[in-house]
Amino acid sequence: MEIILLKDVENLGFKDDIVEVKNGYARNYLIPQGYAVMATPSAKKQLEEKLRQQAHKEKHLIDEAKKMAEKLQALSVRIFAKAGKAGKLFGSVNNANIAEFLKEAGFDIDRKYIIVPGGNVKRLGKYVAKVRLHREVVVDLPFEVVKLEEVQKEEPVKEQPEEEVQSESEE
Amino acid sequence: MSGHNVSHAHNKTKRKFRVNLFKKRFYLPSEDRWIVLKVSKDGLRLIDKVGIEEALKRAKEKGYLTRKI
Repeated sequence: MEIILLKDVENLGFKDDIVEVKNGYARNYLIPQGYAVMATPSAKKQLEEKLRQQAHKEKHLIDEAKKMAEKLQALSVRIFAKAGKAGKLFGSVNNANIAEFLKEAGFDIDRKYIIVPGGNVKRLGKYVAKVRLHREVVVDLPFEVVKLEEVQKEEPVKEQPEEEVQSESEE
Repeated sequence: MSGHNVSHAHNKTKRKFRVNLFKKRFYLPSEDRWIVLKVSKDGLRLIDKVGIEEALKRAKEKGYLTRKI
């Protein structure tokens, strides 16, 4: 059934969103706990009115969000992660990693506003995440997962085969 | 409602068509409390479609609410 969210709900959406959910979830959990209301035609009209009235006050917030969006798109986001053969990561890259990266770059965005395709990313390569700065301002943020090169470990690996060859020839 | 179970050999046996009823608690947001209703599966679909308040109103008009809730 369609419902109108009253608060931000994990994996569903943000406040004042109209979302389609399973009947049981809404009837037995969301509505009794106060997270949502049924989206009847009258409720939808009320919501529209409220949003329209808020639109004037929110205008400067939307402008700020758009400015931030432009700055974000100018960034080149590269995340280093340990990877094994064929580009497969040992761990995974999720929205928390991206939020941390953005924090170091100067953007304080909560991780729940960043949406990574498929929840998390397990291979190297280029992907596009969505960042929601405001209910109406959603920005595509392309990011690249790059292999974390560990230079120090390579040398001892090279030395060992040489040593083995020497000991064999001696015998 | 009653009817027949008709087998392949056309043996008729009496049977009853019963309604799929169950008791279920519903939350009433307007009064902020739970009420217990005996509802059929199709009644539940109606509640999901129009909302509990509207469904209660319609039931009252049809005279279905005999017990005091």
